[in-house]
Amino acid sequence: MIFQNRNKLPFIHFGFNKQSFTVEVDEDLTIWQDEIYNLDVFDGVVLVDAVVHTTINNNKAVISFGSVGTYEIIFNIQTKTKTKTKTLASNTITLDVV
Amino acid sequence: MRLFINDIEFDLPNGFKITRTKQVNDIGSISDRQTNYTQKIKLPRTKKNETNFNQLGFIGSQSIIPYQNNIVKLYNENGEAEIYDGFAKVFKSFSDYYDIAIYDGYISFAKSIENLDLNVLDLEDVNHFKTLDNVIDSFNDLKIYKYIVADYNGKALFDTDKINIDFLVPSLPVSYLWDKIFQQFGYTYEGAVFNTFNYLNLWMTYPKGVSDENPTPESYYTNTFNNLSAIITGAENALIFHNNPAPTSGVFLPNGIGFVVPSDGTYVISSDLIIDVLVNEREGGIQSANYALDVLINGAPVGTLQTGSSSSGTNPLFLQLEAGDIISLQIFTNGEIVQVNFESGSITYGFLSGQNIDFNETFLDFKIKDFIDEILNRFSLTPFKDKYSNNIVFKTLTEMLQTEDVDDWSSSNDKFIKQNEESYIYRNYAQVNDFKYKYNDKEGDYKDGLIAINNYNLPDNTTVFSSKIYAPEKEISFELPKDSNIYKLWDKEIKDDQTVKYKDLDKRFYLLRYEDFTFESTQTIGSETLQTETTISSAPFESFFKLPFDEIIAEYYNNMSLILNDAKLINCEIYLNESDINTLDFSKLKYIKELGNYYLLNKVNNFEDSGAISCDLIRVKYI
Repeated sequence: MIFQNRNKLPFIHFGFNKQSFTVEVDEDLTIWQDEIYNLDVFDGVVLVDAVVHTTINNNKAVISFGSVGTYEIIFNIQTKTKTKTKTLASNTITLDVV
Repeated sequence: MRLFINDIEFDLPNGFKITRTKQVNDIGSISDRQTNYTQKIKLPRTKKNETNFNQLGFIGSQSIIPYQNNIVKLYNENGEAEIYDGFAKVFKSFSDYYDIAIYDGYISFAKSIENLDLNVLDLEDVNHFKTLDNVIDSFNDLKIYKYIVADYNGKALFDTDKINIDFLVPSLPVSYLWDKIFQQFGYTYEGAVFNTFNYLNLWMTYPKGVSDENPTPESYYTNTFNNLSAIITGAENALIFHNNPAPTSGVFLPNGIGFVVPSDGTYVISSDLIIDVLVNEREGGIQSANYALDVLINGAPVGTLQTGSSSSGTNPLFLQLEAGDIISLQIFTNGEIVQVNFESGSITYGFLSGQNIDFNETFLDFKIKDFIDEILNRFSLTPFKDKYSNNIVFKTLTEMLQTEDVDDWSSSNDKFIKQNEESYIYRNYAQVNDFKYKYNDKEGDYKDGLIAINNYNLPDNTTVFSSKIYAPEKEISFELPKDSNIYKLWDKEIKDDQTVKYKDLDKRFYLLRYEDFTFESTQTIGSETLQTETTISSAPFESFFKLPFDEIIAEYYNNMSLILNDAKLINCEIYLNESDINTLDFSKLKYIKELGNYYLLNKVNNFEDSGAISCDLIRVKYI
């Protein structure tokens, strides 16, 4: 149980478990991450070249894109502790910016 | 030690030691998620204590101490607070002592909301009138509330395919109510779960069907025929002078012709006048003529109230007006008007405000404690109240298992002394443990969920959580442009003439989510009763996504299920001192090398002084 919970992979979506979405250039978009992580232990990081509009936390990030294209987004959860570092990578979701 | 009750210091016995039992989220009962720190004290009946308690225990005493909320602070010899802003209950008076108990932790918060309904919250900023403007504003996130489009078992459509706002109800974000509760009672909170989609897109409906198919306008102004006169200019039209008597709302312009409306909304103008309009004949002389009684808004004609010489008015005119718009009346005919005689009847300006949505009135039937419990149980949260402040941290079992900051309670750290017993059954559980919704159909169970425990020696079945929230109907509605669950707030009654009567239901609280839905082509939405409509390209539609209890259990109760299915509850003697007790952290796992396992601390029993203390621990496997 302990090991399973410490290594649980993040799960991201655009709301209602949607794995792909379309937005316009510079339109704000919310990415949701469903798993609960202890805030004292883990930090969330969005892996995509986007503008982050609100402070990212482990469960939500509001981002936008300045140019047209198809983007693959991954959300990493990283341990905060300095002695042991660990990264848990989420599923990949796809965004079309038009 | 120094004890203060309601900021007054009390005498304690010499060499006083208190007995402390600390417990958090008793895993033996899902429905009882409380951090209770209880301590029993035999308070000596000294003169000072009797005076402080207003002579409690004496014949004729008027003391109300046993019945009120008594704030407690208890400091140790080092001046450190053992208890800060707890509360005391006085149970009994004996000849030489008072039997009291002191409570600390989350129970202080629970006590502050005890027996209070949601209607005590300041909800002025969400009370409103149901108008089309407010509904559309709520779609566009301009309001706190949102009219989530769903089938509420009312008349969902009118004129065949127009979405009928008369049978929509607003919903409030659960997060808004949660914040209001904490603000109003002076608490703050933290927790990862409060950033999640499942929490932030969770809404609670207005619990009552509110509609009126034949609403009565509030009369702002009525004038009878004998107070009306026409301003004759020899033209084909004549404005009507009608400023007497004064309106109850709105004002007339000084010219006595224009009525200035006081607020935005639907105005209803009706008349049943008999008017004789005389015009010049081409051949000379005068004669009665056909006419139209027109309504002008800001000088422009917008409709006709009545025509010809009819005595009864036409259908009333429903007009969407903005504050400051000017209503005036005009007689129009084809000849040169020379005289207008108002012979009988009257004219009325009325205002249709839309249904009054008053959350304070309807939330009377929902306890704040039930609302909090609903959230704790849906997200499997355990509250940890800060000792020195009113901050409460809410954690899931998952978070507690993730932390690598573990307390080592092995004997090498002078903690573990011995194991007393090991048990394999948690009280209050059965082989099937139900989470239940309320249903309009009493036999319903289709949105319930369960935790199954594979233990033949447990009873068959028990209900571990009974929600105060109703489940939507089993059937899906296809009436709206998108399929919808049915959240029943009206009952339909088919009358003998095959017309349908809609009967309001109340005390139906539903939880739901919304998802923006874009229509294939623009969709008309409006109010049949207010006679207003507009077109929209998208709207927030209901969703019951991840709200059936079986889905909630799958998402939030996996760890609990694993613990219950491999139950090992041990009782150990652990060496604890004052410092350990004062810094005890129930959210940290305990590791005991001698037993080769990690544990959740469930309870510390009767700590009086440093030494071997009986502790209840729950095994969690490191896999």
